[in-house]
Amino acid sequence: MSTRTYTLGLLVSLALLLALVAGFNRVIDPFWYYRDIQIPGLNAVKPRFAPYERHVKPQLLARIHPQAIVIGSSLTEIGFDTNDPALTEGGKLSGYNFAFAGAGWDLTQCYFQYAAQATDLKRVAFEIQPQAMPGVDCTHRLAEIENFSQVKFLLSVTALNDSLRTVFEQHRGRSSHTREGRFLYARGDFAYVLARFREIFLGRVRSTPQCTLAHIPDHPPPSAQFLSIDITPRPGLDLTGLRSMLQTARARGIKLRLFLPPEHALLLELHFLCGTYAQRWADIAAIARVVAEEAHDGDIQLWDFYGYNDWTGESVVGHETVYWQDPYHLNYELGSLMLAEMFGDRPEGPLGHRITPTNVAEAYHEFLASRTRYLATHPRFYKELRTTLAPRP
Amino acid sequence: MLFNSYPFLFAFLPITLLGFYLIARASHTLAAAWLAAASFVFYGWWNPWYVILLMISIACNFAVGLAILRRQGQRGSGRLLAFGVTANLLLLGYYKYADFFVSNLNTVGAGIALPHVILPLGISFFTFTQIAFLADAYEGKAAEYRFTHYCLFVSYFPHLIAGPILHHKEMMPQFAQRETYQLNWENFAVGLTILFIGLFKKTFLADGVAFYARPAFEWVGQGLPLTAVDAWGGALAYAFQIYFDFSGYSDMAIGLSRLFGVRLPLNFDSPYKAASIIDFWRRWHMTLSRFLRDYLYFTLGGNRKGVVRRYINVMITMLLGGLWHGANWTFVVWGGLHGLYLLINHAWRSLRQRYGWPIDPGRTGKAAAVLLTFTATVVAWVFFRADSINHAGAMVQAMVGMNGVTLPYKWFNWWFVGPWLARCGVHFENTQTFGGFTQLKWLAICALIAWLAPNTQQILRAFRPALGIEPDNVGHWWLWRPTRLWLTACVIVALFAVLSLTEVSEFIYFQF
Repeated sequence: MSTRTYTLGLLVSLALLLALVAGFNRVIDPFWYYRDIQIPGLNAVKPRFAPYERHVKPQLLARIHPQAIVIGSSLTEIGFDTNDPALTEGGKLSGYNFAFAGAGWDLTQCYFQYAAQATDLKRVAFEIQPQAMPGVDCTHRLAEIENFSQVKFLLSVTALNDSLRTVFEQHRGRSSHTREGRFLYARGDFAYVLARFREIFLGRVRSTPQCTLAHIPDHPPPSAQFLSIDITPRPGLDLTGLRSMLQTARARGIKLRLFLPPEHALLLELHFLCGTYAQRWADIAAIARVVAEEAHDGDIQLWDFYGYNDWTGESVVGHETVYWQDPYHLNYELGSLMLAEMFGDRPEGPLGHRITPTNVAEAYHEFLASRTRYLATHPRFYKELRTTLAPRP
Repeated sequence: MLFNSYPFLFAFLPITLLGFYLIARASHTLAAAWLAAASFVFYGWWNPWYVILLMISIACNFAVGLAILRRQGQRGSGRLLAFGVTANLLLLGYYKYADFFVSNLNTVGAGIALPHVILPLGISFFTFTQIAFLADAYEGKAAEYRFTHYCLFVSYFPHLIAGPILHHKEMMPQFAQRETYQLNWENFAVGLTILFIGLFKKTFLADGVAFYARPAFEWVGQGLPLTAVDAWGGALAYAFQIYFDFSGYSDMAIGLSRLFGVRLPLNFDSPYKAASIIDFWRRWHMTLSRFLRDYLYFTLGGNRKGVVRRYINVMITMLLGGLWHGANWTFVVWGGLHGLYLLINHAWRSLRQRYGWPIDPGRTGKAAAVLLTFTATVVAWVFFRADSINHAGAMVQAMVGMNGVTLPYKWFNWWFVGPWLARCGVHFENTQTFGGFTQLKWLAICALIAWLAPNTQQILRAFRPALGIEPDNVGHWWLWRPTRLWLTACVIVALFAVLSLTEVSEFIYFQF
C-alpha cells in the first residue's frame, strides 16, 4: 500500500466511522435526550440513563419547562413520582424529577438556581438534611450546564458504549429511570433490599464507636430516657445558602416545601441506641428560624417526616417491601403521601409535621410519643432489629 | 487552543496545512510566514493580548542574538549575552514567580498586595528556547538568521506551549530546505499515525486514568485522612496520568510537525522503563534535561570541580528544574527529591565501581531496579500533584500505612485471602476513593503499556519519526508500515481518540 493510499484511507475511514457512530447513538439515544425514536427491542428500554443524568436532566429541564419539580439526592430521585396530583395541582402543572443521585447541598442549591432561571417554577419540593447549608458559588456548575455540548451525546466513547449496552440489555425490560426522571434503583428486588438494610445497619453500628452489636438490648429502652435534649437553635450553623435560596423562591413566587425526609423506623431506633439522635433537633430549630424569617406567607414551609408509624416501620424481613428500598430510600408510594401532606390535600396527616420555630420541641416530643405508641403495638420490632443485624450465616 | 479539541483538529489544523502547501507553491518564505502567523493565532486563541508579549519577546531576542552574532569573538558579546539572558529571566520571573515571591514575603510579614499576574501559556518554553538561541549565538552555533524563520522557530505551534525545547541549529536548516515545503505523502502517513497515537494516549488513557487520581488528592486536600490502598490508588493513577499525558502531548507535537515536513527532537522515551533515576532523566522530558545540563549544570561547573561540587551542582540544577515547573514549594520539593535520588544513584554507581561489583545486574536485578525507580518516582509525583507540602505529606503518610489499610468491602469474599487479610488487621469497608477492580484494571492496562509495549518512536523507527533517530528496518512484527493491518489499527486508535475528545481537558504540561 502506498503512503498516499494509507493517508487517504485513514482520513476517509475515520470520517465514515465517526458519522456511523453519531448516527447509531442518535437512533439508540441511550441517555433519553432526544426522545423521538422509540423501537421496541432496540432502544425502548433505557438502562443507561443514570451515568449521564447530571448532563441530561438539566438539558431536558430547559427543553420541557416543567412547573412542578422535586430537587434532592437519590432519596428524592427514587421517592417521588412527579405525575402525582398533589404536586402537579391535579395535573394542571407539568412535573419533573430534578433530583440527582449523590447530590449534596452544594449541588442541589445550584440545581435550584438553575431551575429557577431555566423554567417558570410554581411548585418545588426540596430535600434538605439537618446540617449547615452555606452559600455555594454556582458559577462553575452553571457554566458547565450551560456550555454542555450535545456532541457528547453523539460522539463519545461513553455514548457508544452505552448505546451498545442499551441494545444488548433490552431483554431486561426495565429502564433505570422513568420518563419523568424518577430513579427505579432496586425497586422490586427484595433480596437486594434486605441485603442493603443489613449492610447499612452493620456499617452504622461499625462506624459508631459507642454502638456495637453487643450493646443492642433485648427490649427497647423507654422514650422518657431520651427526653432531655437541647432544642435551642444551634448557634453558628451556617445557613446563608439556604437563606439566599428562600429569597429567590419568595421573589419568584414559588410554592416551596423544604422537607426532612423520613428514615425507616429500624434506623431511627439505631440512632437512639447509638446515642446519635440529639443534634438533629438543634439544627432543625436553627433551620426553622431562618425559614420563618424569610417566608412571610405560607408559600415556603419546612416539613419533617421523622416518626414511627406503619409506613416507616414496614417489616423488611421475610416481606416484600412496598415503601422502602433501604433504610433511607423510600418508594414513591410513601413519597405520594408526603406530597399530599406538604401540598395541602392531607395537611398535617399522620406522616409528617410542618415545623415552625415555636413547635420544634413539640415535634420532638410527638416523635418520642410515636415511638412509644409504635413499640407498644409492635412487640416484634426489636426481634426484627436483631435479626437484621445478625451476622450472615 | 488545545491539540485535543475539535476546533484545533477539525478547523485550525486542516486550514493551516492547506494554506501552507498552497502558499509554498508560490513562495517558501511566504509559507513559513503563514505558518508563523497561524502559530500566533493558535497562541492568541487563549488570550490575544499575550500574542503581543510573545512578539516583543521574539523581536528583542532576535535583535540581541543578531548583535551577538555580529560581535562574535569581540568585546561586548559576552555582556550582550548576559543582558539577553537576564532580560529573559526577568520576564519569566515576573510572569511566573511574582505572586509566589510576594506571597512568601507576606508569610514573614511584608504585607504586600499580590499582583495576581496571569501566567502566559508556554512562557517557560519560549523563554528557554530563546535563551538557548542566545547562548548558541554566542558560541557561534547559530548560523542561519532570517527573521521569518526565527519567528517560526520560536512560535512554531507544535512545540510552542509545552515543548520540546528546541535548538536553533536543529530547526533552522529544516525551515530553509526545499523538501519541507513539498507535499510528501510519507510525512502525512507517518505524521497522522503519530498524531493519533498521541491523541489516544492523551484522551483515552491519561484522561481515563485521571478519573481515579483526582478523588484521592481532593480528599487529602480537604484535610481528610486516606487509608493506604486509597492513597496508592490515587498516586499510581496520577503517575500514569502524567505519563500518558506528556507522552501523548510529545507524540502529538512530533506528529503535527511531521505533517509540515519538520522533524522535532525526541522528548519522551518510555521513562518508566528506566532502571535508575539517571536513566529516568535521560528519558523524561529529554529536551528540558538537555537544556538544564547544557546551560545550567555545565555553567555551574558540572563534574569538573570535584565530587562535592558535582553533587551540589546536581542538587541546584534539580531544585531550579523543579521550580521551573511551577511557582510552588511542592515543585521545589519534587525537584529536591529527584536531586536526592540522583545523588544516591551517583554514589551507588561510584561504590559499585570502587568495589568492582558487576555492572550488569541480570534480569531479576534489572526488574527490581525498574520497580524501585518507578516507586521513587511515584512518591515524588505526589509532591508534584498535591496542592501543598502538607497535603503531599499527608498522602505519603497514608501510602506508608499510617492511617491503616482498608480494602473494598466486596473483596472480603475473595477465596481464603479476604478472611486471612482481615485476620492480619486489614479492614474491609467501603473505600474512600479507591475504585476497586475497575481502577485496578485501568492501572494494569497502563502499566502493561508503559512497561511492555514498544513506544511510538520504536514502532515508527523505519521512518525516522524524530531528530536523532536513525532508520532501522531490523525487525519486529510490530514495526509500522503502510499496510492494511496498520491502517485498520490506526483507524481504531484514531476513532477512540476522537471519541474520547468530549471531555476537553488541558495537558498538564501546559501550566508550566
